[in-house]
Amino acid sequence: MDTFLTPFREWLAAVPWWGAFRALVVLALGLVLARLASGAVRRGLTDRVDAQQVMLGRRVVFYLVLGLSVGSALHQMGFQLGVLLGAAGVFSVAIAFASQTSASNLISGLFLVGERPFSVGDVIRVGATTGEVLSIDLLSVKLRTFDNVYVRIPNETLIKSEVATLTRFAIRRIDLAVGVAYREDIDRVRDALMGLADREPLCLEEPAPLFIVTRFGESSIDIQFSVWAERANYLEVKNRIQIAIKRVFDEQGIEIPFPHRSLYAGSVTEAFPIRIVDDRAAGDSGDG
Amino acid sequence: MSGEGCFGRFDLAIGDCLRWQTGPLTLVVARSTGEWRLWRCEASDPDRSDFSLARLPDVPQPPQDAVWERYVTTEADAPLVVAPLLPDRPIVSRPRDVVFVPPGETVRVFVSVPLWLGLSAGRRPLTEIPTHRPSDTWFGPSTVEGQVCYALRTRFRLEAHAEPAPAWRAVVAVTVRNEDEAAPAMQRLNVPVPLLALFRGTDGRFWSESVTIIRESGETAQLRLGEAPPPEAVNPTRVSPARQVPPRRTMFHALGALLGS
Repeated sequence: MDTFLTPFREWLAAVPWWGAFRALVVLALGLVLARLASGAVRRGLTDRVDAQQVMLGRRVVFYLVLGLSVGSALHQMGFQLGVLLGAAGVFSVAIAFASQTSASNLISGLFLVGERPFSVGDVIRVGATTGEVLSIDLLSVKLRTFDNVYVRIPNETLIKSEVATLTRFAIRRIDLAVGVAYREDIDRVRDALMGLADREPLCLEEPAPLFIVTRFGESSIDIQFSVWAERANYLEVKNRIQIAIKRVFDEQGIEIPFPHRSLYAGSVTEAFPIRIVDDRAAGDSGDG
Repeated sequence: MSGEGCFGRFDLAIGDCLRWQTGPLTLVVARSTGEWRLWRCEASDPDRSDFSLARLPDVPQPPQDAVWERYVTTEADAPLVVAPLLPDRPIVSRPRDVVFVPPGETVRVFVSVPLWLGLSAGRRPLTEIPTHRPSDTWFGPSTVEGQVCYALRTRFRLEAHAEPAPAWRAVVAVTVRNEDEAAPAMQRLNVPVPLLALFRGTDGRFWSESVTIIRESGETAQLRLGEAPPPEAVNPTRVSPARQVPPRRTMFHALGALLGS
């Protein structure tokens, strides 16, 4: 039995228990200190810089303090930090090859933080995804879409693709496509559209609404009617203006045409044959 | 009731109802147990100028587009206080035609702005209601730089009494002085009404503190906020402070931020 336990006892005797205890204390203190420092950064910066910079500052301070305490804890356990860093240098080459995607996202994240095309709280559109930016992290950006879905977009994707920040400027233009029948008087249509924009208080008077006849379409004269609105009112104004267009066109008898086709017989000059059915005559004969 | 015109202090018992007709705005306020109920709607004609204030036995049936609001309060016997306020955003006014101010010349124009009704139950503010909600507009050199303002339908005038003064509008006197050698075209005027206090003359007219815009050489302009309304105001007394405390009484802006051209 003693023979069996001897290696275990030797191992126990070899473990630097006092050093391990000190390392644990340093680690625990480091964690507490990191949290306190991170909280202090948040309180100190909240009113001075935007949410993204606050988050970045908190993370830098947290991981810096935590990294220092981990290094100190390892030192307490007798590890030589110089040797560790040297080993880390050798391993980092291998790790870099093994984690190219993560490294790419990391570098892209640094570019994103430096370039600042958007901040936490902005609404962005990336490809088919539109949502509010919840956080900008080292590897990815997290969005909340308007149907309340949590979307993670790798930073590399953001660097490579077109990103539209919808909340950068205070006002936005709403482009509406309107089609009217060929028989309508364009000036009357213009007056009707400009009038309804003038009556809508949320629609900006300046920049003035735009009325552009874009083309003569197959079934309608196509018009682009653009109005400006405060960013916060974008959807409401878009909705109200479209409802108002339908109402005003109905009131003034302006036709919004359905797509239609003119049919010709194989020979353009010959008419389609018409068969007249006299239902009344058929009914009368039935009765008789 | 101890109100003068639209504004003042109104004692309402439970079940009482008041209806304001201030130009385009119809506002009904009714008192119930533990709450104030109100509905409001705005007529399509912003130029209506009739005024009436009536105590009604029952809450009248609101029109379809009326907005209902309810405010719950614990103050059982607080009176309803209706205070006049200037709009919460700058106002943009236009002349009928483009105005040029020759070099060295000083002109004074008068802008009539709709007032907001600030409703309070005793000292607790309930809500603010514009007597006429002007259209939004953008004032700035581009769609990137600038600010959202209200656009006035009424033109600014060269005479203080050029148009009738309903009890729910205030007059802002703006002096424009051109110290440059060129004559700028004044197509639009940005009046920073949230920085101005409101006064009432003994004749019932409302006035704000005067504003002076001095065009200096180049593209800068000086904005000076006066301490009092213009001399046309009859024994004015201050009725509400400025919504925003101005950082200084004299400020420097880009010319385009005050006079649109």
